[in-house]
Amino acid sequence: MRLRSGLVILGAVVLLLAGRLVQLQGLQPQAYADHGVQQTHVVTIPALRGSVLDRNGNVLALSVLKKNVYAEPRTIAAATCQVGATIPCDPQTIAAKIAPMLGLDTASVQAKLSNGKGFVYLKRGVDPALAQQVIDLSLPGIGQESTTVREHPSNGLAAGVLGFTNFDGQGVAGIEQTFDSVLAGTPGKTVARFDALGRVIPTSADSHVDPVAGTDVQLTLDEDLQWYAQDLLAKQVQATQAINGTIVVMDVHTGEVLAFASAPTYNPDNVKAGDNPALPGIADVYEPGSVNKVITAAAALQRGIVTPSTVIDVPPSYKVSNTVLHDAEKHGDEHLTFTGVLAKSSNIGTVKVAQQVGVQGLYDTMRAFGFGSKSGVQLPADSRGLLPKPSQWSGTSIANIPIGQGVSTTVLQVASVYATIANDGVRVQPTIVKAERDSAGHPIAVPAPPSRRVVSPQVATTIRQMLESAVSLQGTAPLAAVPGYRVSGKTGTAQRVATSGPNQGHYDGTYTSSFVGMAPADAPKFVVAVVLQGTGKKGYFGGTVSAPLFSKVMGFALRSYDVPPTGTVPPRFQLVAP
Amino acid sequence: MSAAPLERSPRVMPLRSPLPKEAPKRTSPLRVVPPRRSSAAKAPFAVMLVVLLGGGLLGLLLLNTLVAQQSFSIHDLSAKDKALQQREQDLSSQVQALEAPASLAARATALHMVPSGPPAFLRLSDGKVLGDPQAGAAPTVVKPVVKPAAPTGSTTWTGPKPPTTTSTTTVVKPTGAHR
Repeated sequence: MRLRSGLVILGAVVLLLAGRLVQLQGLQPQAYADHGVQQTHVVTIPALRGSVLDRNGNVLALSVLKKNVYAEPRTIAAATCQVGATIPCDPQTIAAKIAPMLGLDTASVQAKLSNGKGFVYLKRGVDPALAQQVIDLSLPGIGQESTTVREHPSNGLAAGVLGFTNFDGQGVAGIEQTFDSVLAGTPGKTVARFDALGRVIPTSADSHVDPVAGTDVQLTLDEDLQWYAQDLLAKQVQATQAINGTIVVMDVHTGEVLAFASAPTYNPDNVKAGDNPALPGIADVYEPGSVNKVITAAAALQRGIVTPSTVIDVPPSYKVSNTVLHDAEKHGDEHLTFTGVLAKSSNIGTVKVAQQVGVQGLYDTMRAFGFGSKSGVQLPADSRGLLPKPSQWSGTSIANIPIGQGVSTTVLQVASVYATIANDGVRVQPTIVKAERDSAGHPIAVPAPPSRRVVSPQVATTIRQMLESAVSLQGTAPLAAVPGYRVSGKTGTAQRVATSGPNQGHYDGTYTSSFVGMAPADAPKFVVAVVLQGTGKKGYFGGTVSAPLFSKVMGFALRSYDVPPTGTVPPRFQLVAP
Repeated sequence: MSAAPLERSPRVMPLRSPLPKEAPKRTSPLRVVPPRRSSAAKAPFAVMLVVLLGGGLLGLLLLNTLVAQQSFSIHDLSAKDKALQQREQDLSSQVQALEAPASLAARATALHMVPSGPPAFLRLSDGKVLGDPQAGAAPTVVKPVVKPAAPTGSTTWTGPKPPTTTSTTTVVKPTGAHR
């Protein structure tokens, strides 16, 4: 009797279990299987990309944690909506609920929600608090994932230098591209089981790898100087209706680029089609024009062919091979000193001296100053420019190249030439990165840029003194003067070869207006190069368009770095032979 | 095995000769030993087992609950940590935006400040004044306070009314040789 009752109980239990089994496996197996699968997640934890800092540690670009809000349209379609449910459950009501929260158009959100795909992003880079509000609505098929977003607190300052990252956080221009592997870091991940509330189930076998944040990159740029130069330049490009403009400020002793401004620029937070991410100062080449006369002068002085006081006979016109040279201003037969040739930017006088230097000598000097090779700055698209080899020079080349035609350079290459003169003849490779910083903020110094002697200190000093006359009232750029300081510099006004459009490769009637100079002239600290491309509609002389910017930017730099005037008196040079 | 023949021999004997009559009257030297009673009580042992098992079960349950509890508080705390990190990130973003040169310049202009002119330097070695000091240019148009391009926060000038032009300011600095 007892045995029988025991059997009955056992039978009932087995029946119960069997029934449950049928319920689980037979009636809704997929729902439970899905439920089980969803509880195990591999969560990728994005690594915070390193920041880009200026030389004083101000943040120029940083990454912040944000959320991507996504939808699973198929899950929404499969969701069973209860009659009279309070939680929206079909595409229309879900869209009406979340589109205003995310600041999106309701119709387009609804279209996304009902497109039948497995996964679609609704909005990327959402503020985490807002994303959580959306998630808290417990809508079917709406989720969030962690992401990082690049921010630029200084509002696009030095955008051309910094570059930007794509949606996947990879650097695709500028410093972001060159130092992508340094900045990127390593993402971590968590494999774990979660309960219905998204909490990790403690006894489940899981693994966790912490993300490693990227290394910071500290630039040599000075945020304040960069802003000042960029602000002035943008206004001047607009005022002159130029195509673009560049200002480079360099520390002559270290080769550090303190400011690299370009206009027009773009917003790195919202890069649009048509934005040119390349920095014109290194990516675009142009004929340097008169500023190249400095190299010709250096070659001649270094070889002892002329001295500052050597008298050069400058006729009104001068025939070389099959071309006839003229000077910018008409004049009769003149007898200028070599200083006068440089101060008055005489084409004829310069070419006459260049002929004495010879093709090979000119070529070698230009190479030594860095023409025809990459500037070496740590930015992508660093152009070599165009320097024909001596064998490629035609008969008229000797009449063009010494005055900066038939040779193409970048603004940074030209700035580097003047920095070499300013640094007593030693060329220091331009650099824009000061250090990398590890996660604890300790600087990892980058190796000092290589340097080499190009001309003797005496030649460099002589050229600096000769170039002071350009800024005098008799010279081409009195507007470049910085009150209280001795300034050396050279204007450049050259016809411009179109880099695009129907006139590509030909002079298109616009000009390159430049002024490159240094201060204080007898103990230079900075070189400032101001180059405006495509001027001509409203002024085009380097002395009127670019020199005033030079004066302001140089003045700001000298003030910012407490550089006192030297208090010396510039030597008087005779420009015209007695 | 070696003991088997010895045991068998007494059993074989009665078959050869009948049992002696006096045999039942003799008191046998062998008798059944009563089962030995255990001195230890059974109950405490059972109780101990139950306590051990129950205690183990309870302990396990407690441990599990504790671990779960801690895991939940870790979750809650890390959520709090995340929220605080987020707050810090937001605040430092705001500070950085306010520190940006463009933002500072806009706020300074709003306060009717102007950029300084070139300073003069006093060289201590010979007392010579270097440079060509100039006053900052007065703002050309005095506009109503321009709202600076800052994400949040507003600056209201509560101090005395700022002057519309700046007075000549000469910054005197020693030369590098004396620093």
